[in-house]
Amino acid sequence: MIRLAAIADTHCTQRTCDRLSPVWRELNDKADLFLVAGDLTTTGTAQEAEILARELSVVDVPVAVVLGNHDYHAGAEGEVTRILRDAGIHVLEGDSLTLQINGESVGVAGIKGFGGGFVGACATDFGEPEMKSFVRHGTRAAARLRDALARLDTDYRIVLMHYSPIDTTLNGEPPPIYPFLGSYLFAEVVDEIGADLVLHGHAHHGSEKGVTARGIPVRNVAMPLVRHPYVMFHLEHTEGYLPFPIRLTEHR
Amino acid sequence: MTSSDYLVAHLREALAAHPDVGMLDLYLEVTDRSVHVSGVVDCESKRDAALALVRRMAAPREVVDNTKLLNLLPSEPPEVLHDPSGGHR
Repeated sequence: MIRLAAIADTHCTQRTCDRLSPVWRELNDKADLFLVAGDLTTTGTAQEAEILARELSVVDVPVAVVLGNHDYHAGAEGEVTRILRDAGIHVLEGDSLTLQINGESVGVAGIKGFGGGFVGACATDFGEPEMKSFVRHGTRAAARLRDALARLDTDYRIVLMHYSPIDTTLNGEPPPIYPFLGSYLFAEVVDEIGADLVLHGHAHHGSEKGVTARGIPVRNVAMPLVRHPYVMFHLEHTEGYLPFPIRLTEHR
Repeated sequence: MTSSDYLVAHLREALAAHPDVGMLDLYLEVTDRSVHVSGVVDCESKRDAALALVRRMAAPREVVDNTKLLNLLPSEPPEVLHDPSGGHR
């Protein structure tokens, strides 16, 4: 069994510092791994990243994060990443992390993700260069997630994103803004490659639980939504379980 | 669309860009006489900065604060996910 703690949208600023570390300290007894699904900061400054690093310094279990849209706002995402990595935090963007926990292997594939919308109401790679650029950013991100996820040969596979891969966990948000909150492209990848759990944030007014078309659980752990400093998950496989889709090879 | 409708859009832009606010998810209802602000804010100083900005931009309208402060609750028992990979067996 893997004990996983997760949260998103901490939006750290100087005004909120030292609020989370007293409760995150509990994770040293309760969790094997802590994942933070983006919007770590409010405006993406180095100072705010240092505040998050200080908050996380009390957590002794492995910590992996992805950045969110807020973490890009100041144009300092590279410095934010460096500060967090220097603090021992795994910052994932189109790559993956493998850990051994309690004799089992756990892989985390992480990417910020992007908008674009969902089947029946999504942007299309057509027309002006600006629209193509918007759509292709999401397409490229989905391709990077596919590569990161496919590389994981682990007992458990977790996908960590900021944007949502499904629209169910956006319920509660105004439907006109769904295309800015996520994209079906990421759910399609998850269903193709397989995973045990997808975690995301970004939708503060959304819903906590959903599944992909193939039934893979998706959880929105945005802090303003869940109203907890972290959410706990226990992942278990029973004996004989084949966790991922069996791929049929076509011979011609 | 009235001038009040345009004001909603301009307020949202300003709230996102303000370094002491940086919020995209405050809801605003604007009439000729008032602005109602709602949503969840994670600290009092951020709420104060947001309301001050709205008062300045929407003057002379009355600004009504319907925001809620984010009060974190103690964590709950874990959700247990058995064989969660879409049921592939």
